[in-house]
Amino acid sequence: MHGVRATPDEMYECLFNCFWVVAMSQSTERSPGLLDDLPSGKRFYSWLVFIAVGLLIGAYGVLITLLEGTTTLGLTDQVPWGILISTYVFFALLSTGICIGITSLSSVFGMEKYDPLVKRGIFLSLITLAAGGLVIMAGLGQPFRAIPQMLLSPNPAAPMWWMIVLYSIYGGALAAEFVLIDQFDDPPEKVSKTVAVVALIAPILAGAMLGAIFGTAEARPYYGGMFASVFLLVTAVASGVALITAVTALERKFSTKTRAVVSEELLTQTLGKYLGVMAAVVLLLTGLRHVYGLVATNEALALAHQEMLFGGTGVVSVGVGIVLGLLVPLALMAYPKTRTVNGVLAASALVLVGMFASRFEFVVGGQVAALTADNFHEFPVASYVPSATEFAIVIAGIALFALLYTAGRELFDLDQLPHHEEDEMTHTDAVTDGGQADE
Amino acid sequence: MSSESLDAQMAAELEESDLEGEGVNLSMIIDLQRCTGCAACNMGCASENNLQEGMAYSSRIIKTEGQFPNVSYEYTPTLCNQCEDAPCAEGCPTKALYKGTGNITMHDHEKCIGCKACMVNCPYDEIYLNKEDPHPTWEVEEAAIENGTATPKEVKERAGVDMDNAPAYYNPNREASDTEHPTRYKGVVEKCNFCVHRLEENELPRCVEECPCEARIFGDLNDPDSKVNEILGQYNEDVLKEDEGTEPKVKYVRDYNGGSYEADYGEPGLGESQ
Repeated sequence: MHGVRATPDEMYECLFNCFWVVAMSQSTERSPGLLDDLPSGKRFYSWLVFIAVGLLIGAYGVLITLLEGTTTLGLTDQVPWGILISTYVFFALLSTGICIGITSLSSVFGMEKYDPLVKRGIFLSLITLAAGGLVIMAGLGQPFRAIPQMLLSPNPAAPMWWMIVLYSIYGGALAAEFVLIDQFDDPPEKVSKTVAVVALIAPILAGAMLGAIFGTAEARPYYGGMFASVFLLVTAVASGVALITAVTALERKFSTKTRAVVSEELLTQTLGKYLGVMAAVVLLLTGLRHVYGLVATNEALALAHQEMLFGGTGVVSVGVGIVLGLLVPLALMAYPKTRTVNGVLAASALVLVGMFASRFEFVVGGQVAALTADNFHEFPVASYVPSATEFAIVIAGIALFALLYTAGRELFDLDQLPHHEEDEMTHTDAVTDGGQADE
Repeated sequence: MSSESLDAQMAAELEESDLEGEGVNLSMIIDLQRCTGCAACNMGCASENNLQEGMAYSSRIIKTEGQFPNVSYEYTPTLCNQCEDAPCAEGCPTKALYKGTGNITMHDHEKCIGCKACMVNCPYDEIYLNKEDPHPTWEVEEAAIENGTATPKEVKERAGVDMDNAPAYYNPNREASDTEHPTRYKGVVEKCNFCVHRLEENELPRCVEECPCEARIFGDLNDPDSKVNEILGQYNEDVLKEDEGTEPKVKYVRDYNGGSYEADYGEPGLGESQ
C-alpha cells in the first residue's frame, strides 16, 4: 500500500480541495507503474478511435445547438422534454443507483463483500454525473445562465432547484470519498464515515427531487405523482447495479488486477442475483404503472399508456424496455446455468439498454397525451421524434463517459480496496470467498 | 346604467388601480354568449406582441360534436390563465416566472434558463419556447421572384434597420417598461401577461380592446365595484380544468347558445304547464 497518514486538519484541507486534488492526483505520489503501463495494441487504439468519433459527433451536436438554438432539437411546445432529458435522467440515476445500491453498502454499512466495487463505483458515479450534466446543459435554451441564475435567483419551491443543489453536494461528497480512498491509506474514520453518509443521503434526496420534478407536474398523471420519486429511485438502483456489474465483468476479462480482487462468485452469485432481483422488482413496478394507467378512467392517462405501449414507441417501451431490458436479464439470472460471468455481463448490458429505453418511455409518456384541443396544437396525441442533433448530443454524453472512464482507469487504481477500521485482512478473506463469509 | 362604453369604464377602473400595490388582482372574464369566434383577439395579440408563426398567446379551442344536422359547436377563446396558484411559477428553478404586477404571472426573460419545466407544469399549454431567434427570414438573401422582388435582407438594409439596437422584429410596444423585452430572443420561454406593457400605460390588454363584441371584461377582482365583479355577481363562472386546482383568473360566463328547441316533447317538468 502507498500514501500517507493524515491528520484531521490535513484531511479537511484536502476535502476542501477535493476536486483539485482529483485533477492533479496523477502527479502526486501514487502507485508506480499505472501510467507507465498504458495499454497498447489494436483493441485499445480502436477503442480510442471509437471514443474520438463519438466525441466529434457529440461536439457537432452540442455546438450546432449552441449556435442555432433548440430549433435543432425535435422538441415542440407540447413535448418540451425529449431524449436529452431522458438521457440525463438515465445518467443521473446511474450515478444515484451505484451509490445507493452498491458503494454505500460497503462505505456506510460495512458490508465488506462490496469492497472491491467501491472505488470503481465511486468513480463511475462521478463520471455518469458529469455525462448527465453535459447532456442536460446542452439541451437548455440558455445553458450559460443556468448555474449563475440558480445561485442569484433561487426558487426553493422548485424541485429542480433542490435537485441541482443536492446533486452538487453529492458530486462534492463523491469526489471527497474518492480522494480519501485514492490518496490516504488511513483516513480518519469520522471523516470517511461522514463523507460516506453524505454520499448516501444526498443521492437519495436528489433522486427523489428528480422524481418530484415529474411528480409535481399534476397536469400529467402519467408520471404518477409521488410514485415518480419512488419509481425513479428503485429503478436507479437497478441501473446502477447493472452498470457496475457490466464494467466490472468487462474489466475482469481484460485486467489481471481486477481478476485478483473480484472473484467470480462476487459477479455471478452476489451481483448476478442482485441484478436479477432488481430486474424483477422493476418489472413489477413497470407492469403496475402500465396496468393502472391502461384501466384508468382518466382518458388522457389511458391514452398515454396505450400510445407508449401499442403506438409507434411500443418497440422501444415494450420490446427494448421490458422484454430485452427486464425479462431476458431476469431469465438469464434466474436460471443457474446462464448465471455465468458472460451471462451476468450480457444481463447487465441488457438492463442498461432497457433502462435507457425505459427513461425515454417515462419522460415522453407524460407528454404524449395533448393537454388541450387548442387549434395550434396536435390533438389528442402529441408527437415527438428525436432529431439527429439530439442523438448526437446523446452520443456526446456516452462518449464523454467512455473517455473519462478510460482516462480514469489509467490514472487511478480502481481496484484499490477502501480502508475499514477493522482488521484489514478481512478484506482479502471477504473477497476471495466471494463474500460467502458475510452470508 | 352608465352611458360610457364598456372599454371606457374598464379603462377608467384601470387608471384608478395601483398596479404595483399588493391589493390588485387582475382578472379577465370572457362572455361566451357575446363571443362570435371572429378571432380578432388572436390577430390583435399577434400584432401587439409581434408573435411569430406557431406562437399564439391568445388562441381558441373549437369543439364540434354530433352529426349533421344535429351538430353542436363550441368556441372557447384561450390565453394564459394567470393562475392564482401557478404551477409554472412554482416549478421554475430561477424565479423567472413569478407573481408580479397586478398579481399577473410574469416572466423575466433575463432569468430564464430555458429548462422548459414551466411548459411541462402548465396544464393549459400556454407557454411557448423561442427555439430560435425570431423572424429568421429577415436574414434570407433569396428573393421570392428572382430579379423581380427584393430579398428580405435587401428590404431590411434599404429600410435602414439597425440590427444591434432595433432589429426588424424590434417591438417598441414592449419597451414601455422593464417588465418585457422588446426583442424576443432564442432559448427562453414566453407567455401572455395581459399585455402588461399596455396596462402600465393605463391601456387595456389588446385582446380586450380588439374584441368587437365586448365579450372580454377586464378588471380587479379585489375591487368589489369593478366590472368583473359585477359580471361575476350576475352569472355562474366557469374556468378551464377546474380540477387542476390552479385557480385560473381567466373565467368564462354563459355558454354560447345559438338556438332553441321546442319544449313540448316528453313529460312536462315541474312548474311547466300541462
